[in-house]
Order: sequence, then structure tokens, then C-alpha cells
Amino acid sequence: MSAAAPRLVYVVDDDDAFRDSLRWLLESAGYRTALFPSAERFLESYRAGSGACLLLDVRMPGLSGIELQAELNRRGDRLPVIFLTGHGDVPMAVEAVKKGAFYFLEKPFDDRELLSLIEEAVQLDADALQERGRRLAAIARLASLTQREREVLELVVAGKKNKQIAEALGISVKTVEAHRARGMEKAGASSVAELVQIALDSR
Amino acid sequence: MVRPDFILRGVPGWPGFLLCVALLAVVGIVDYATGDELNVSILYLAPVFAATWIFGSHAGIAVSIVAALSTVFTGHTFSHQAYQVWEIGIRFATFALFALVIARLKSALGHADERFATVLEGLDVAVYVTGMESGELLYSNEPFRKLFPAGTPPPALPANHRQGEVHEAASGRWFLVHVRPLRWIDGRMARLQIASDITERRRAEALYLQQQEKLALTARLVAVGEMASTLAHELNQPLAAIANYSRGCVRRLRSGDWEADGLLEAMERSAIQAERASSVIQRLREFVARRPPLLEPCDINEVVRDVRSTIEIEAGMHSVRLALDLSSRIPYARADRTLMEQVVLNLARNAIDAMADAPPEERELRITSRASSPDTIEVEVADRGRGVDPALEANLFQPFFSTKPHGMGLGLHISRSIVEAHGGHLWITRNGARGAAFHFSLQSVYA
Repeated sequence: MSAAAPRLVYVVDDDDAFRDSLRWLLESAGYRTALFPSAERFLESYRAGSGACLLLDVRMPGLSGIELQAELNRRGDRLPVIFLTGHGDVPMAVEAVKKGAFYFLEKPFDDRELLSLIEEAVQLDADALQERGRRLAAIARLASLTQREREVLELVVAGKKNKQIAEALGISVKTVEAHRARGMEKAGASSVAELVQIALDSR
Repeated sequence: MVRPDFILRGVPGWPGFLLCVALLAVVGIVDYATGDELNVSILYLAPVFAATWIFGSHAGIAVSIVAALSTVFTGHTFSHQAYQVWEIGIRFATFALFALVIARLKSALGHADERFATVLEGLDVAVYVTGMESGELLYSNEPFRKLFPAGTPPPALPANHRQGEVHEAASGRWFLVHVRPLRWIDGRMARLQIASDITERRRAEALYLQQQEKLALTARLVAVGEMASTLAHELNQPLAAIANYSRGCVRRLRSGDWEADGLLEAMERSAIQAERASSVIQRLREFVARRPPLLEPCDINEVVRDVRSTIEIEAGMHSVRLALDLSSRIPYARADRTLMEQVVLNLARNAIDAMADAPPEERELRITSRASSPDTIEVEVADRGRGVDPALEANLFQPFFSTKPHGMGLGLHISRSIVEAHGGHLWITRNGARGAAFHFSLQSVYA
């Protein structure tokens, strides 16, 4: 992964110096950063789906970190969130973790701990992204099948033999073989096992 | 109220019966002795009255019969038998009618008396009458007897007091006592006293006060906790930034991928954060440490001019005009410059905050200096805000008292402490029709 473009870390915190210092630290570990002084500004420019993570201050004027998390949840965005809490916000942060935040750290924190958490979170997001990519690809492939090809392949995935399929659909075994071969080619599957995988990915 | 049954009260039963018989006998003897010369039959009304009053109408009619028939034995002569019968009939009718009227009268008076008694007994306050001179208990109602069983002295107010709360040490109860002078039925002067038990009310009041105190204490503790929390947060931010800058530097140096310019910049920024942290601690120290004021000759006008730019920035942010009215003919004050700056700044900030709700064109902060006497210099910081609620004025200088949502409630308290440490005063007046004016006085070098 690291060979690709530098991974991205979003930082939302109302303290200018703290944001700037985080950028300095994260860049030293090879991350790209995008800094925002408020949740509103983040939402204005954030676009989902880049394999990243979000470092979020719990308490901010305007939209709070917790509210931003709720907004992301509402949008169905799974961007991993690491909360950075000041003094006395721990119960709030624990609540945030229960609502799906990736982790929380109390300021000031250990840089190694932060960086390993970011590593994990970014990886998680990248994996999820890949997962989503595969799913989209599988859906795209299966979308090009004809009605008949789809019916045949569904029965193949269900473990039926060509002869059984022919009987079930009321067509000749030869026709089944033809649809099956074409369908497998369109779906990009070289074996029944691969076809099953693609069918699972598309769900 | 004169109670009629007092007249013969205490003589029912045998004594009453004997009284009636004796009266009847005496009148009979007088009647016999006087013969035909005098008609004393009217005197029979006395035993009739006594019997009716004591034993009721039946007894009265019985006595009437005896009194009517007495003409037979008292030696009266009649020219004709029929006249005697007529005389007996007339007498009986008169006496019986009298007996019935008396019985009716007594029952009517009795009912009236009963109504008053029922009301008095039914009250839940103790009502009692004592002799003005003797102190003897003349009347008491049921609640009185319950609250103060025989032998318990009732609560008494000091002489010439008409109303007051009295604590009964013996029972530990509190009474609200009203006293009125009264002419008693026998003509003596007496005291009518009404005592209500207010122990529960007093207890509730005491409890309420206690709770208020606790609440105030809790509020202060919360305020201190908030201050600690705020300070911790304010320290945390620069410390976290410093840690980030330096770790970023370490990583770059370790990896060998660094530029001197970048590192320098980061270290500069880190140092700024260290200064930020130290200023937070400095502020804390100003709150906590109380160094004795350094008293030296000081031009208060200069103090005001020195903080002018700071005030103007804050005033500008809130659309407040700053007007200075500094007298050029005032002596130097004996004061600590830095502390005076704090006081002026503090009062000015309060004044600016106080005008947040005022129409912008009216927002004017005026700082005036004058010599109120050759010995005393006075500075006035006046706003055109809503003024200070008189009810809150007493609390204004209490530590941790604030009318602002995020106020610490220390500003005025500290300002007043500073001024008083200089031997001066800090007080508040109204600023004409609108707003409040805070004044403080300082001793001049001539004082």
C-alpha cells in the first residue's frame, strides 16, 4: 500500500497550533494531511472514498466532534474516526467509541501510539475501500449478463449439474453449456469457485 | 361577652333544689305575714326563675303551680270561692308564662354560647385569657390545654409587645403569639392571647436556608472545578502541540530526510507554544498569588492611557465607544501601577460586557478621573448597560459570583481586594438614567 500515493489523514481541531503541529508530525511519518478548523469546513470539502482516517477534536465551537461523527454515520460513511480529547472529555469519547469511532486518545498523546492507530485505521479504510471496489466490479460484471445466462449461472452457483439445469429450465443440455460458457466469460470467472466468489462479492 | 349562665353556674343538683325551696318558703312566709294588706305575689317570680334557670321549664311550671296554690295557705280572704279560683288561675298563668319565657331565653343564650365555644375549641391555635394583674388563667380553649397541660407555663411575650415569636425551651417548640388587652366579663383588665405553633414553619425555613448555603457552596466548588478544568484544557493544547513539533523533528532527523529551514520553523513554533503554556500559568499565578502591592507615586491618568489601546480593541469588537474624561489637575496616587492596570481593565471589560444588549448607538464606556479631595483620587468607569439589579448588588463582590454565562466571578472580587489593599474603596452607583458606574478611590501622595 505505502508504495502508492501517500495516505491521507484529515484533522479537524479548532486549535491552530495543535493542527499545525499535527501536520508536522504526520508528514514526518509519510502521511498527507488535510487540516480543518471546524467540522463545518470539513464537511464542505470532504468527499468520501479515498482510504483515509479522521483525527477529530471532541469539543469545538459550532458543530462538535460528536455531532460530526453522527453526521458521517447518517451518511453511511465508514471513514474511521480517531477522537482526540482534552481534559475531562473521556466519558464523551467513550460514548463516541460505542457509536462506532475507531479509537480515542487523550491529549497529549504518545506519537507512536497515534501513528500505529492511524496506520491501522487507514488500512481498515483501504480494505473497506477495496472491498467496496470488488463489490462494485462484481456487480458491474454480472450486470452485463442476459436473463437466460443469469438463470443458468444462478443454478450453477447453487451446485446443479448441466443436466439438472437443462431440466429445470426446459432447454437442451447443449444450450445450457453455451449459456454457461458465455456467462462465465462475461463474469470473468475461470472456474466455478471464482464464479461463487464473484456472486458473494456482489451481495 | 358576658355569659349569663355565670349568674347561677355551679349550683345545680341539691344546692339548686334547696335554693328554690328556700326562696319559695321565704316568699310564702312573707306572703302569709303580710296577709291581705300587701300583694307580694310578684315575688314568687324569684323561685320560678331559679327553678327554670337551673332545672328547666318543667321545674319552673312545678314551682308555678305551688306558688299559685299558695293563696290557699297564706290566709287571703276572698268574698267568693270563684274569686279565689280566678286568683289561682291568673297567678299560675303568669308564673308559667314567665317560666316558659325564661326557659326559651336560656336555651337561646345557650346556643349562642355553644356556637362561640365550638369555634374557639375547634381552632388549631391556643386561645387563652389571663388576668392583667394576677396572671391567673381566666379562659382557655382545647388546643391550649393540649399544648400546655396543667403546670406548663404558656408562652409569654415581653411586656408591651403585641406580637412576637417565642421559643419554649422546655418543649423546644416555637410559637407566634398575639396579645390584646381586654376587659373581662367581671370588669377586670385581662390579656387575650393567641398562640400558634410555628415549629414546623421555622424548621422548614431553617432547612431552606441550609440548603441555600449548601447550594452556594456547591456552586463555588463547581466554579473552582470548572476553573481547574479550563486551565487543564488550556495547558493541554500547547503541551500537545509542543510534543507534536518535537517528535516530528526527531522523526525527520532520524530518517535523515530533513531540511534545516523546516526544522527551524517547527522549533520556533514549538517555542511559541511553550510561551503560550507559560502565560496560562502566569494567569493562574495572578489568581493565586497575592503579592503585596508595590506602592509608589503613580499618575492614574497614565495608567488609564496605558491600558487604553487594550480596552479600545475589545470595545471595538463590541461596537462600544470609549470616552476618556481625565482631569489634568489631580495629584499622583500612591499605588501599584500593574495592579491598577488590572483594576481598570477589569472594570472596563465588565462595562463592555454589560452593554452587549444595549442598542449599538448607545454603547458608551466612559472613564473619568478626578480629585475628590486633595487627599483622594477617584476613578469612575461608567457604562450604559442595563445597570445592576439592586437585589444582586450585595453579591456583586462575592468571589465566584457572576451574571455572565461564562464568567468566573472573580473580577470584581479581585478588583475590590486590590483597591482595598491600597487603602481605597470600590463601590457602585447608577449611571444617570441608564447603566452602572463603578468607582474606586485611592489615596494621593499627600494623604
